Amino acid sequence: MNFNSKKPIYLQITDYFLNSIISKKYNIGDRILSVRDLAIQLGVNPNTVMRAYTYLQDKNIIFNKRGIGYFISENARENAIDIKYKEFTNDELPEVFDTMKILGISFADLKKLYKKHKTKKSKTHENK
Amino acid sequence: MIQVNNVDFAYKKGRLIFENLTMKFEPGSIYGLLGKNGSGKTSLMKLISGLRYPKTGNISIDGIDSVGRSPEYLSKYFLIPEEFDFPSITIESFVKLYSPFYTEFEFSQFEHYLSEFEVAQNSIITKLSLGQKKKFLLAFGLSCNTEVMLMDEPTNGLDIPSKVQFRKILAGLADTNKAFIISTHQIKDIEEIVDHISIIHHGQLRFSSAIDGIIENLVFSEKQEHNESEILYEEKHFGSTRIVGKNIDNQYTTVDLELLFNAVLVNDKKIKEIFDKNKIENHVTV
Repeated sequence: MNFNSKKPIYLQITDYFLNSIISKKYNIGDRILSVRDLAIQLGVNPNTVMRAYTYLQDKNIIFNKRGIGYFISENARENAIDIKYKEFTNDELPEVFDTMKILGISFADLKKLYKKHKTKKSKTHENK
Repeated sequence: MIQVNNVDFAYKKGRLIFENLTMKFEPGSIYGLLGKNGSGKTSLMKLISGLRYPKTGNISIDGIDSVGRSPEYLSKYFLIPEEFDFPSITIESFVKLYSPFYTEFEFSQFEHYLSEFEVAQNSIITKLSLGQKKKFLLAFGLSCNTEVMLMDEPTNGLDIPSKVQFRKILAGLADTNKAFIISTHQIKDIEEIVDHISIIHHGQLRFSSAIDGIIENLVFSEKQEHNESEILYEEKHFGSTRIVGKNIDNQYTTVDLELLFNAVLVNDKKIKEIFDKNKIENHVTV
């Protein structure tokens, strides 16, 4: 994890978990690192990790078994996708639309670019 | 808890370094203490550690006054000064001599930190490089597990891997009953590990807030993206203008300590107003 984006660190930590859950790196019932262990691993303040975990708990992504640790919740993946979907449509997409307008890119152009992107991706997959 | 009450302080006949300074440091936090050269950061460390006494006012840790330098007071903190002299003895002898003063000292912890910093235990301290001396002192000081840890420019002289190691060690030590105070100009070295920022300027506490509070109250961003927000401070960089603004629509951005520091020096009254106003509003809704 690299802390250079504009989001506060605690939200960068929550992003890491959301993305890992969506990509199935973490699955339902998996135990995640304790607050202290993750803080040590990242070299960040434990209160920052605690804030990230509280946020994830509030969003039903993880839950706390007292004295045992934090685990991935049952509906974590659906909830994570929901959060990231909203973030994409509310924050990232408008930026793309703005840039498109400035550069004069039409939806037809976008479609072409998308197709190009897809063929490139499938090619690199074949190579692997 | 460290309590600094209405402190005036000057060296001999010199100008007042602090005038009516009041601040407190509570356990459970890692404080970043920022200030320009000569703003009094080191003097504050000396005052808290009882190396100097206030002219008026008083300083206490857990209710014990610094004046008198009682053994009880002295065992409550450990000071890592920016400059230091060591006797010409081995690390082992140093530890034998000094660790008995600290009841919570853990030898295994000390050995662990020393090996992480790659400093050999049988070295003669005075023969070590500046960076290695610093690492030894940090390893020793942090193993004393005192309630209060005062660190004056702790990352000066540390190489890049050791700075990372230092942050990881602090993350592991941070505890609800300990207060860490880090005074520094190397903002990048500490910005991920501190959870509270205090800024002193011209002998006064100009700003003090938990990082959480800063995130709630202020935004740090590029100018064009934040036309609506009330701009408190701006700084031109190559091709862009970075701003500190009032957080009016729950935009949570990462705290840019450099920008915050400059903003406080220029516009601390306005910033204080925002924090105070939000405090009042939060009280009403609660």
